Formats: sequence, C-alpha cells, structure tokens
Amino acid sequence: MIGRFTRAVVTVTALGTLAATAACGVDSGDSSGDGDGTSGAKSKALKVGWSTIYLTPSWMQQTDKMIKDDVAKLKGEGKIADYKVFNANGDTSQQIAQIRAMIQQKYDVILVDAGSSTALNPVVEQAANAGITVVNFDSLVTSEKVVRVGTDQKEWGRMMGQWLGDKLGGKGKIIAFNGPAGVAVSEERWQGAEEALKKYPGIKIAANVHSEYNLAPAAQAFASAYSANPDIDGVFSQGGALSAAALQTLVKQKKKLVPITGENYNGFLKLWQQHGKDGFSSLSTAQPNYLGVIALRAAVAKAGGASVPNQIMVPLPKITDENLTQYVKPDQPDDSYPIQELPQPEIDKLIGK
Amino acid sequence: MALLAVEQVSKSFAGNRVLDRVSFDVRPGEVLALVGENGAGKSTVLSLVTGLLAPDSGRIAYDGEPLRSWSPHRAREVGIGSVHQELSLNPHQTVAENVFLGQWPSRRGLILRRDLARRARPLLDRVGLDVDPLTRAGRLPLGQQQLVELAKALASGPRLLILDEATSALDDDQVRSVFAVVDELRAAGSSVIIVSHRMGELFAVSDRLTVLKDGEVMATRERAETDHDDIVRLMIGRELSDLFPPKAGMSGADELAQGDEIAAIPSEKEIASEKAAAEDATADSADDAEPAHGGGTVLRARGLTVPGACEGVDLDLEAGRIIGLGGLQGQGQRAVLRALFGLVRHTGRIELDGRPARLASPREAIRHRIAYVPEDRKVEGLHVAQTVRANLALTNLDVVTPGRRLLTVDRGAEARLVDDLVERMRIRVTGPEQEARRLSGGNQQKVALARWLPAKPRILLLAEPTRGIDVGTKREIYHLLRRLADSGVAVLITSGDTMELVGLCDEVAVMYEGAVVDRLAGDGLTEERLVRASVTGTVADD
Amino acid sequence: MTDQPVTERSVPARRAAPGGGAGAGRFGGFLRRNLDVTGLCALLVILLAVYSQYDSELFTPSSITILSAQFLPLILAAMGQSTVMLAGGIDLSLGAVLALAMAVFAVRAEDGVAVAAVLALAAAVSTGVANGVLVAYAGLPPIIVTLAASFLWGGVTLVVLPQPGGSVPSGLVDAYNNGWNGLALPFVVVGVVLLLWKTVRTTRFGLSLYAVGGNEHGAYASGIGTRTVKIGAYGLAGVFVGLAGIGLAIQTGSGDATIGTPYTLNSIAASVLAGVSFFGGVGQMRATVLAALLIGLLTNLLLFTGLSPFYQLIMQGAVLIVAIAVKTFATRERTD
Repeated sequence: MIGRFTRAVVTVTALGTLAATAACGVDSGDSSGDGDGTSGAKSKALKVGWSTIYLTPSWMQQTDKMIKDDVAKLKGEGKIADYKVFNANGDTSQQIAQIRAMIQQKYDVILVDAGSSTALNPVVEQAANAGITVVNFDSLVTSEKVVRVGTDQKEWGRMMGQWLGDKLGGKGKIIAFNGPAGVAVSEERWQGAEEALKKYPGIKIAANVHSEYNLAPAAQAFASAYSANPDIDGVFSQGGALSAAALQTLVKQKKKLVPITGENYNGFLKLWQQHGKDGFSSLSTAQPNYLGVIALRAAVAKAGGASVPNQIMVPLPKITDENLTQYVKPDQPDDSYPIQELPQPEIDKLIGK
Repeated sequence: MALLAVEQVSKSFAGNRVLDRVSFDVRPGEVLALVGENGAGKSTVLSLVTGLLAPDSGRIAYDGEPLRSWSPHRAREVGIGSVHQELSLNPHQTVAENVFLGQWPSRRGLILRRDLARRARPLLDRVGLDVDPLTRAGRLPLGQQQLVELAKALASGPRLLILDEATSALDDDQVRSVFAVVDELRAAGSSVIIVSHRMGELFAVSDRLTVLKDGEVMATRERAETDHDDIVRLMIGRELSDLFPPKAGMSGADELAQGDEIAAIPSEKEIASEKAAAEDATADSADDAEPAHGGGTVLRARGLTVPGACEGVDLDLEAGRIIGLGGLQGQGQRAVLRALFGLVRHTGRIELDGRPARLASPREAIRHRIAYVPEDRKVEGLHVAQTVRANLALTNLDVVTPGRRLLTVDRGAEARLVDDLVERMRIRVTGPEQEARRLSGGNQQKVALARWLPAKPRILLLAEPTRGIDVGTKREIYHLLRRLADSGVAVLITSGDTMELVGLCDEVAVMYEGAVVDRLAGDGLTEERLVRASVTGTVADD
Repeated sequence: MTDQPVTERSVPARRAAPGGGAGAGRFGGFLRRNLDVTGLCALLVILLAVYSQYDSELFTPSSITILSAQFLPLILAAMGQSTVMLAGGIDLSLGAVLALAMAVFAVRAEDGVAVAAVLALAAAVSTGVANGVLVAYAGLPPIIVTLAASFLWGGVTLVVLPQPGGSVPSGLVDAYNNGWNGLALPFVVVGVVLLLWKTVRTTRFGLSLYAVGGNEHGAYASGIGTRTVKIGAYGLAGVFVGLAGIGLAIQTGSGDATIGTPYTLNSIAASVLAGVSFFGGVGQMRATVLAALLIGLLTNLLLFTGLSPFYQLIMQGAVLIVAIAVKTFATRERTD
C-alpha cells in the first residue's frame, strides 16, 4: 500500500512540476506582448527567435551577447518586439522541433545556427514557405531558399595554405592539424588548404592529424604526431585551440618555433604575442562573432520589405604579425575570441542596403 | 529394463568432489526416493539428468540410450519433466504462459492468451490449483507457484518426473495433490524421482529409496525392507562422535586436550589483548558499562519484525553460547540474521548490553562488533576475484594501516596478519596471492570467517556455515565456533541441517512462517523434535 | 486525477479471491494490469491540455501530421531499445546504428527508395545480430558490447557518408512531413509497427523474449534457447532502429552521421519512463510509444513556454527524473 501511495504522491509532484512550467510560460507570454506599443514605427515590430545547436561554448556566448546588444538597439528603434534564444544542446532532431515550434508560434524572423548542413533543410524551407524570414549564419545549411550569412570555409583553408606555402618558400615538411573527421567545417577548410598547397610541390605533408576543437585532446594528438616527425618546418592548423596546442607543445619542448596558422582564439594570440620576439610567426583569421549581428540586420531588413542577397559572404579578417596587438586581449581568458566590431556601413554594404 | 540408469557418475566443483561414482536406476512405473543430508549431492545428480550440468565421468542412460549432447531442451523433448527447489518460473508472465514455458502451443505460429489459458486449465486442475491462468505467476504465494511448476512439468507429458524438494513450500492439502499426481503417473507407467526432507512423505509414496552421503551412494533399499532408523543410519554414516565439540557448560579437560588438534583461536594472548581493548573502549566512550564478556546477555531482541519475512521474533544472545535458528527453508531465519546486521529494515526493540540500540546499517552493526558471515559466500561474504590477502586485509584496515598515517597499507603488518590468520585457521592456500574463487568451499568459508576475527567480534552471525563443505572441514568449523563461544563470543547460526543444529547448538529456536514456534535446549534438543516442530509449525510436546 | 489512487487502492481486494472475475473488479483489474499505460495516458492528456493552451492548432490534421513526423524516429528508437531491455539487455549503440541506417538510406535513396530501405534495414538488423551474438556467445555484458559497437558503427557510418549529404526524393519528404492525401504517414507507421509487435508478442519468440528477460536461468532450464532469443531480440531491435533511421532520413531529406547520438539516451529514458525494467521481462510496447510521445511533447512544450534555454534543460531533467522515479519505484514494488 505504501508503494501505491508513494506512487500517487510522486505522480502529483510530476504534474505539479508541469503545471509550474506552464505557469512560468504564461507569465513570459504576457510580458512579451509589451513591446508592441512602445513605438510608432510604420512596419510592425518583429518577433525574433534564434535557434542554435549549441549555446555553451564561449564563441556562442560571445555571439549571443553581441546579438542581444544589437536587439536592444533595434528594440529601442521599435523594430523588434520580442527576442528569444533556443538551445538544441547538440541534438539536431531537437533543433528541428524548435524551428517547427517557432513556425507554429508565428515568429516573424528565425535565425539559425545549424547542427547539420542537410538535416535542417526541410524545416527551414517549410518556415520560408510559411512566410517567415529565415536567416542562417555561422554553420550553414545547403538549402538555397533561405538567406545564409557565412564565411567561406574553403577560402579559410586556401588563405592559410597559401600563407604557409609562401612562408616556407615552397618546400619543407608540415603537419596538417585538422578538426574531427566527418565534420563539414573541418573537411571544407582542409579541401581549401589542399588546393592551395598543391601549388607548392616541394611541401610534404608528414602527417594528417584529426582532433576535437579542444585544447586537451588537441595537445595529445599533436604531441604524438610531433614526436614521430620532429623535423617539420611548419604546421597547417585550422582552428584556434588546435594552433594553441601545437604552439604550446613546441614551446614546452623548447623546439624551434616553426610557423603555425591559427585563429583568433585568445589563448593562441597571447602565446603568439609572447613568442613573437623568439621568431614565431603566424597568420590567423576568425569566424567573426558579428556574423550573428549581420544575420539579424539582414533579417530585419528583409522582413521590412528590403531586398537582401540570398548568400552573404563575410570576408575573413586577417590577423598578422603586424596587427596582432589590435586583437590580442591579455586581460581576457584564453577561451575567448577577440574580434574588432564591424562598422555599421560595412554591415549595410554586405546586406545590400 | 530401467528407464534411467546412472552409472559410476562423478562430478567436482572447484576441486571439491560432489559426486563420487554414483550409480542407481529408475524402472518404468516406479517411484524412487533420493535421500541424504544437505550437500549429499542429490540436487547435483538431478541436474545431470535434466541437462543443467554435465558429468565429469561416468554414464547416464535414458531409455537404454546414453545421453548425448544433453541440455534442458533435449531432456524436455524426451519426456523428462522436473520441479526444482529453485523456481524456474518467470514471475512477470502469466500462469498459463509459465505452464507452457518454452513450448507454447501455437496456431499458425501465433499464441493466443485465451487459448493458452484454456489449455492450461486441465493441467492446473490436475495439480489441484484453482487460480486464474491469466494471473501473473509472481503474484501467487510460494506454494501455489510450486504447483504451477508441477503443472509445467506435466505439460510435456513426462515419462520421468523429477520432484526436487517440490513439496517444501506446500501445505498438507497441496502435498496430497502432488502425491495424487505421483500415483497417477505411476499407474500410467511413468516414473518419478522424489527428493524431500520430510521422511514420512518419502515412505508414503516411494517404491525404493537410494541413500546418498557426501556424494556417494550408501545403499538402495526396497521400501518394504527398510525403516526410518535404517535410512537415517545410512544418511549419517559412520558414527562421527567427535564431529561436534562438547556444548557450553560441558567443556572440560577433554576439550582442552583437543586444543592442539584444532587451530587455537583465539589464543590466550589474544583474549588478554581483547580484554584490554574492551577496557580501552570503556574508558574512551563509557558506552559499554559492562565488560565485554561477562557471560550475560549481550543482545536482546524483542518483537523483531522484517516485513514479509519474519514477525515478532524474540531472541537472547549470550556470551559463550551458540544459538541456532532452525526450521524448514525460507521461514525467516535469514531475515533475522540480516536484520541484526543492519542489512534489512526492521522494527522491534534491540538491546545491546541492556541499552537500546539501533542497527540501521552494517556500519553500525560493525561498530557494535557484530560480525556476519553470509550464506552465499561468493556474493556477499567474499570478493571472489580478489586474492586471499586482499580479502583478509580489506575488513581489517585498522590493523594493516597502523598509526593511520595517511591510511597507507603497511605491507609488513598486512603480511603478518594474513600469515597469522591463514595458519591459525588452517586455510589451505597455495599462498596469500591465490584468488579466493580458486579455493574449495570449505576454505572459502574459513576465509569468510577469518576476515572478521582480528576485529574481535562480540556477536557472530553465520548463515548456513557448513553448506557445501566436506565433513573434515565441517568438523574444524564446528570446533572453531565452539572455541570462539568459549572465549566469550555470542554465536547465532541458521542451518537447514538438522544434525548440525542438534550437535552444535546450545539452544535452537525453530521458525515457521516467520515466527519462532518452539525453543529446544538441553535434553529437549533432539533431531526428532526439531523436525517435528519444523514441519508442523507447532510446539513439540512429548 | 485525485480519485485515481483510490481506484487503485480498491484493486488488491480482488487478490483475496483469485480466479474470481466480478464485473466491478474487471475494470479495476484492467487498470492494475495496465498501470503504466493508464498513468502515461493521464499524463499525456494533461500535457496535451497544457499544450493546446499554447498552440491552438494542435488538434488540426496538419499539426498532428507535423508532430507525428517529428516524433516517429524517437518512438521507433524507443521501441528498439525496449525490445532489447525486455530481454534483459541494453543497447548503447542504438544512436550509431540509427545514423548508419539513415546514412545508407540517404545515400541510396535516389536509386530507388525501396531498395534503399531494404539496404538500410539490412544494415541495422545485421548490426543488431552482431551485438546479440557477442552478448550471447562471448558472455560479455551488453553495456560493454554495445558501447564498443557504438564506436564501431559510428566509424562505419562516416565511411558510408563522410559529410552530411545524400538526398531523399522531395516528394517523399513532403508526403512524410506534410501528409499524403490528408493521411499522416508517420501515424500510420506507428500503428503498423505496433501491430507488428503485437504479432511478434504472440509468437513463441515473443513469449521467449519475456521469459528470458524475466528469469534467464528458469528459461534455460525450461529448454528455451536463451542465446537464440537474445540474438533475435537485438535483431528485432535492429528492425525498429533501422526504421527510425529511415524515418529520420525522410524527415530531414538527407543523412548526417552525427545526428543519431542523442537517440541512445533518449530511447533509454523513454523505455524506463514506460516502465520497462532494467532487469528485463517487464514492460509493454504501448507504454513505450506513449512515453516517447510524452518526452517529445514535453520538450516541445518547454519550447513554447519561452523559458530561458538553460532553465528548459533543468525543467526537462527534473520532470524526467520525477517521472522515472515513479516508474522505477512502481516496478520495484511489484516485483517484490
């Protein structure tokens, strides 16, 4: 009998939890209506949502903050009424569900940072067909029915490969240090790099290493590849944590600091600045956080009736030995991505205003 | 010609010979009783017949054909049905599904619930079971479950039915149903092998009796040519007058004379240091007002109840005495021990040295210096995959980490402890690094017991201390327990072995359906009275 | 809701008279036998009621189509997991196998949907059989075997489809996601699969599955080929997981090697919520379907509430823990 009673109690608790959830939801539903009356703008204020595959990585956090700041501005101008973030936490099926829910809730604008380049196609197209302005940024889908704001990942690889080839004078042994196998971004960057390196037949790829974009596994992966090939002349690395891991290994083992390509991962930038005087040289680029802001601006413009190009390629910034000091932030944690803000006219130009 | 012929069959487990050249046969239309003490090898030989185990050597022939590629599946195919002590029902499936377990009748590959239920009905009627065939088996009381097992065995129309303690959980009416089935089968020319603790039943139903003892066949007798005494004599075998040590209050010079033969535990020095330790404890905590062993009641339990297992049990454990919990299997004996060691939730009043105590967890029990050697050594009593050394050291971290500096193990102290225990307990090992699972059952039991000794328990709880152990080791363990008692330990054991309870204990509390129904001590403690109280659940008044 | 415990409490009275089947007791008996299903139904009704507060179009055909399209892969995956769990096992490679089936289907779909589906199912079933053989013959714990298998099949999937891609005919994608002549195809699939299960359940294999899960030793002693049954269970789970992979491929119009992983834990959560015992032998497929639906609806509902994303995760976890605690407690009490 006790068992049954307990069961009943727990069931009621579960229901209570649900009811509480519902109550929270009702509250926020009420408050979200407030934005409507605040401005006299002729076009109606928009209901905007951002569905992202991850929210916890620091790059995403920075992007989230940048978008929120811009949303505040646009709210002040009466262009946005409501803004919400949906985190799929790595589950693409969950992201599909989120976008479905946003369609049903009649969002005007849906921003998407995609968990899969193909799996979201049907749902984002469904949203577009329902008259919703869908703008996809950072991690892109292959569908051409939505506005996509991104950087050219092949170009990323090409740019790095080119620089490394030049730097080594067209000959030498290098380690290629890539992201996880099967991840689209990693494959694309490497394709670009291979293209560029083909032009330098004197450059031999001693090892092609794959690792997650995290410092600890990257350091392990690089250390083992490096111990097998201690005589390399350079490293093609396609991500910030990977580059930092590679450079750290060289520094720790007091080896020759060969050129390593990189990204605006602050940990790498700090190391670079520290060892620039020892002759270390790099070229880094960035997946700029302002992609999110550009996407937001493009969406608002498009929803307001303006015509916006379907594909917005944001140029990759270049961080060189010369302008490094403008980027590196010695007072900020390693795990951050310092970036210069893009001036408004530049944004306007990109979205075709 | 015999339906089943077992010829010169031997079987060993972990170097322990359980069956030694066993031979017997079963004729068509005959009921054969297999008789013997616990651990005599009855269940093992039956497992060979039903295909659960394979013999090491010897031959078993069924219907004139030697058994080849034998398995439970094959055994069932050729018409061997069995009901074991251990239930093979799936508690989550319905009675009907269980009756046809593994050979459900189907119509074009489909098995319909209603159809199964309809077909199960006559079988259930045959065993006198009036339950809904669609009830889940696990919901039935134990006795009814055992009848479902019987119906299941009958479902395949067996030519040989094996009943291994099939009546242990049944009431009188149910037992009558079972025997009606046995008579029916015999009349139809089928054969039955029956194993039971209840001697009366065996005499009532069997045609011949085969007596097993320590894995050997002592004799096979026609029922008409034997009697109760004859069989018991065969079961017990040669008179083992020195198997059991003298009881409390009777120990004298002869006991001391045996001292050098049996491992002296604990030694005088040990007792002295134990006293010192107890005095220390008194000084430290003032918790124990009495000295550790003044010969009085150490533990007093009143109304001890474990829901669903035992109810209202009163027990007094005294220093220097060995108390036994008797009765048929599964009458709540185990629950009492587990409750006293804090392993199961229980209610009732427990006093240690006259002060109320709560034994809510093994940790607390150990703090009160209660030790528990469980029945299933391999699961609870030992870390079988670990070495003997690790097993002995683990419960004695205080000893092997002297001074408690950083709790690092002092290898020297550890080695001394292990060597000492191995020698004193006469544990036969190749060395301290031998894995516990490689030891024989008797030696495992010694390790399980030895690991508690350095902590100097005041109360020692043992479940089935000699199950599956050869006679020689049994004797050592009996004497060891008596020595511990003489040194002031209060001992409580459970045992399904009547002879053991009578021979070893100073007092036996007989349990029946969770309650103590009789207490036997002194001259009143006889096998006969014990068995009668166990079976009837009433006070044996004669 | 308040009177539910009361109804339950009156039920055990019937135990006193086994075999009796009075009219009043019959309904009680039904409730007792279907405690999991009735409980889940009650929760589902409440959830739907709350849900319809947020989404007024919930009960329109298009909504039902969309939602069922979304929930189908999880429902099927959970059925696969439940099959294995009923036999006393567990499958940690489920997500990887799902992705493999999805990849095979997406890569081959353009050459013919039927052939692709057969290939995908064959791939999933053979992985299941391989798992089953290892569990049954090598005697390794299922949790180890299937964990290792999850890496293995994950690697194979990357070989089949190194990058997200492949394509599924758009007509099929549209029919699946938006209905086909007003028919919610995923809904039909669930119905068909449940019917399939009901059939399997009434075969010798089906009963053996429950018997092995409930008391493996007893089943063996009763002459059941426990190894064959285990292999069969993993193989059958392969059918369900393969179908889930195909469903996901059609839903998303493509294949993606990384998309399957969350299904492993979600399917276990759904099975446990449904009352399928970790120790095997206990559980109903109907309950699993309902539980998967519940989990799907719950996550969707939380999206509607507009809670901050991190609080949504907390809510989701809390509700699951509470609900699963109930279930575990209930099963434990009944097996005693």
